[in-house]
Amino acid sequence: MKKCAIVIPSFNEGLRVTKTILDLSQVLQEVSQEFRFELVVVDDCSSEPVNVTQQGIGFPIYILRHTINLGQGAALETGFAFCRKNLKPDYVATVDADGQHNAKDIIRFLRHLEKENLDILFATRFKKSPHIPWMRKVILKMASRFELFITGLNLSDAHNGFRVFNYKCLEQLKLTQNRMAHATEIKQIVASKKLNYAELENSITYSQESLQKGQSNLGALLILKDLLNSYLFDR
Amino acid sequence: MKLFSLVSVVFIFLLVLLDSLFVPKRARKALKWMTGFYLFLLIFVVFQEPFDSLAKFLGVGRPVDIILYFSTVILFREFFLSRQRHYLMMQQLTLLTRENALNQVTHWQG
Repeated sequence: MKKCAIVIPSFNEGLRVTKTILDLSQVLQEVSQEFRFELVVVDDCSSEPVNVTQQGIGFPIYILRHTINLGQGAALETGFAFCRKNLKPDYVATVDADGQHNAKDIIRFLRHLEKENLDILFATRFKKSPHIPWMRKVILKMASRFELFITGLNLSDAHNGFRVFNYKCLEQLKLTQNRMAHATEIKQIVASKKLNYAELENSITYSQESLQKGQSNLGALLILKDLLNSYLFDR
Repeated sequence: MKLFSLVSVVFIFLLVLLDSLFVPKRARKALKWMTGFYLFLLIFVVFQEPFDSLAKFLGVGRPVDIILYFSTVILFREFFLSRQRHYLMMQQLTLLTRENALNQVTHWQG
């Protein structure tokens, strides 16, 4: 049976992260004969720490907590470092804590990754999520063109937090971007290490809360600034 | 003395006064250097004539422009270096925070 770690970075999600975990457990228990899941929640210094103590989730949960708020990229890398050091999973999936990703997509993506013998499978929201705000759609399209220019990877969705990859890829993904530029950094690593990749559609459910709390449209400028900083200052 | 020179003298005097009142005792050495720097600038503001020929030789309009141009270069350099220091410190802080998080994992069997 293959082992899959699900990494969930969380910051001030409150009860939403608990609900996300329960939703995941309900769906993933259906395939417990095929995959053994372990959940890694990285709390990025939320004002109310993540506290998951429900019974009957059906798989182990590890909660790591940053003592200062660093950003989603840093939280993901902490989760990845924990997986590399302790869990050594066959596959890793990353999902957002606010429940906007569909748990059934994890199973579909894992099967596709295995079948196609890929290292990483990116998600795109442009086929299955018809209700993307138009401004966000335009910015994401521009961002994916920019990423094509700097990485050579032709992917349609620049900043989809949902992705699935294997252990070989996990070993290569050592993120240095603390904030949202990590999504671009992942693609840079995939391109530079010549990993096998593909893109598959996933569905995203936007709620009023996730739109308010998620990246603002001006976040694209912050990402550019972070990429420029790392280009200028990385030793 | 032109009005601008007079205003500059008063302004610099006020700056030194404010600094001496609010700068903590441990930073007195820095205050001395700061006052010295103000006085150095004052020379250029008050005694313009002796430096006119230098300004003309260097091809700038006023003697004080020499200070402004060099200050701009120095300030940009300092800004850039402090950004770099901030970036590297943030990287070290990230590693420290991560190490701490990895050492204090809460495990729940679900």
